[in-house]
Amino acid sequence: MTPAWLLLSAAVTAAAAADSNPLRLPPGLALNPEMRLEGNFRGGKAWGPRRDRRADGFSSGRVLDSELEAGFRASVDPHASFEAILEVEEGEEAEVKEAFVSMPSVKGVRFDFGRLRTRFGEFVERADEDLPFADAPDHVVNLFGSDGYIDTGGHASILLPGMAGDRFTLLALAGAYDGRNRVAFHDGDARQPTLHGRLEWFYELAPRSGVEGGVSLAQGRTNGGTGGVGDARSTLATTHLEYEWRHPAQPDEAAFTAFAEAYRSERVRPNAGPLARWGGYAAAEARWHRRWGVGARADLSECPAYVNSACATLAGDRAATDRESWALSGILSYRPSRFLTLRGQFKHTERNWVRATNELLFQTLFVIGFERPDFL
Amino acid sequence: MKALLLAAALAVPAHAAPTVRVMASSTDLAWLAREVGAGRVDAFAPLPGTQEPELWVDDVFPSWLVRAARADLYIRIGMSADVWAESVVDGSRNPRIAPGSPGDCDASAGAARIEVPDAPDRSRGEIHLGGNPHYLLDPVQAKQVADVVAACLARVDPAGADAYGKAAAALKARLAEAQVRWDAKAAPLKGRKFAAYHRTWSHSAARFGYSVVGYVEPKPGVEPSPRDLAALEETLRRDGVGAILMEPVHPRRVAEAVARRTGTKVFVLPAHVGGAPGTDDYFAFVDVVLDRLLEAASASRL
Repeated sequence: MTPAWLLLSAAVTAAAAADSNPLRLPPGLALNPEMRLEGNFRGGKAWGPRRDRRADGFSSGRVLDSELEAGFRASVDPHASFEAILEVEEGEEAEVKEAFVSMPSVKGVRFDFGRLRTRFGEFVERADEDLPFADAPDHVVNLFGSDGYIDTGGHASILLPGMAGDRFTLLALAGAYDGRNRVAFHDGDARQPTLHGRLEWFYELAPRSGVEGGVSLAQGRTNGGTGGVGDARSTLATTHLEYEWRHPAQPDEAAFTAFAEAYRSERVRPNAGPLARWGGYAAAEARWHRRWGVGARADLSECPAYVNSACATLAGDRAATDRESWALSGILSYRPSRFLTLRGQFKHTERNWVRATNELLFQTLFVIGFERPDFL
Repeated sequence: MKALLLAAALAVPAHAAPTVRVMASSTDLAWLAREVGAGRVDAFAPLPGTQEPELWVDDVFPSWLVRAARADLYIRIGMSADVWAESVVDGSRNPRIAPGSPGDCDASAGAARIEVPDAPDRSRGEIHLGGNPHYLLDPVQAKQVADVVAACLARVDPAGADAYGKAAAALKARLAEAQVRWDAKAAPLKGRKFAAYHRTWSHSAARFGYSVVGYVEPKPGVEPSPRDLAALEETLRRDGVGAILMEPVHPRRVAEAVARRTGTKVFVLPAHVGGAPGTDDYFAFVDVVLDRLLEAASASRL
């Protein structure tokens, strides 16, 4: 039994031993962390070349691929809180996905530090249950892996005073991390920090609709493939635009969201010119009923030919064979409650404009326990 | 220069009351804060009265954060009805309203706890662990909540404590006076049976003597299946129920389909201050709710 499961089962046992009414928790348990379990089960079937291998590690030929996250959070003291997310994925060791301390209000500045999502771009910022698709966008997987950009370090963020009668808001964030993402940076080997900045704005068009945009920039060292550690400079930039509309009277009954995100990555290697790649995705979801949503996503990725990039490490496929790919997906979501999502996604992918793969993905996503607020 | 400073000092009224900036999760609580605030309070609620705060779970608009960042006091509905308030407070980066600070106010501390679930089990639907959070549909509880709000205001503005205490006492006297009228007006509701879309009316029913015998949602937040609707229709026929009560935020199509099949009528009632025309203050709101309930009662066969 892995340490993660031991911790989880101990917490579950303690909770079961408690009075069933949470308003009368025994004193010892009252100071335990809140718990949350999030399950993400995916199944699928693929047709075409490379149908058994995907860059995000999900094997389309299998009936079910499961991932379970256990989240714990608690206030440390009046000034700080702690949150940890343990991830157990089928066929892999349990790992600490995130573990960080937050100081939410230090003279108007929020500090988060530890191992955490870096808030680099819109995809990384969002929780799984908020994403209207079953798999991560191709270019995100190629750049960071399927979880997005998680690193060890810290960031500070401030909410700048509202403008235009509070309808326009601006959030600024700056961070420094260890560069532990092995695809985009040096896996923490180079002892050189990765620096990160982000600006995000929101303009409220009406009480239930608005437009959001943002830019993020990250720079650090990476391994250039010459055998040296941290011998290349890696610069990543992303920008996103999102439009959100909700029915003014019955916001749960009709809603529309569209968002697009573009990434540029550049690697400067010793004695070689810069190597730049573009990619991104655009997605939309319309909800015509509290429970049902239909969506679409378009992916485009100039596959990064970097050492350790997801493109380059697919067995039997060197980077040179996959220079670029595009994909189109159609998605149908059913949410029996706000804690459970059932989703089907059809995805057509073409690589180098020639080799096509069709996939049918199914996803069951559930959340038990505390509701994790968005990062804002 | 001295003359300029003197002029600037004279331009500010010497006795101007400080403004306490309040953000509240519902229009009802914002109204209460203004009434109890004795002219010292600027109160804001992010959702209009036509919305249901307990249903607003996934999106927090940044403009709310900006307002919360300036707030001296945040008044929550509590009873896990406004889980999104956590995002607002957290995202505001405002230590004055952080959990446990003087500006953190849970209005449900003054409310009666009914329908508290036996176990925190979501197989029972989207339950509220602290009980039914629609306590302000019972005007008697509004008096208790007024005291809570006054105490919260006094905590963040001790200089105004007397003013808040007096304003709360005056409001409670007005509510007590109105209660006599409301009780008389609601007398025909005693013993009446209704159906409802959601478990919104429990506190009101307990106060005014009517009952809700069936729900369109078989469990809170859960969509009905055809079997659930058939069971509800059987209940309506058996108990002679003639009216289905619902709030403006819920879709009418399912309730109207049930009404068509059972010969009943759907009545849309405001559930919060500002939830219907002419309900901009709590007194008018309670009057409109009672008027609609009386209309609904006249449609009932029992």
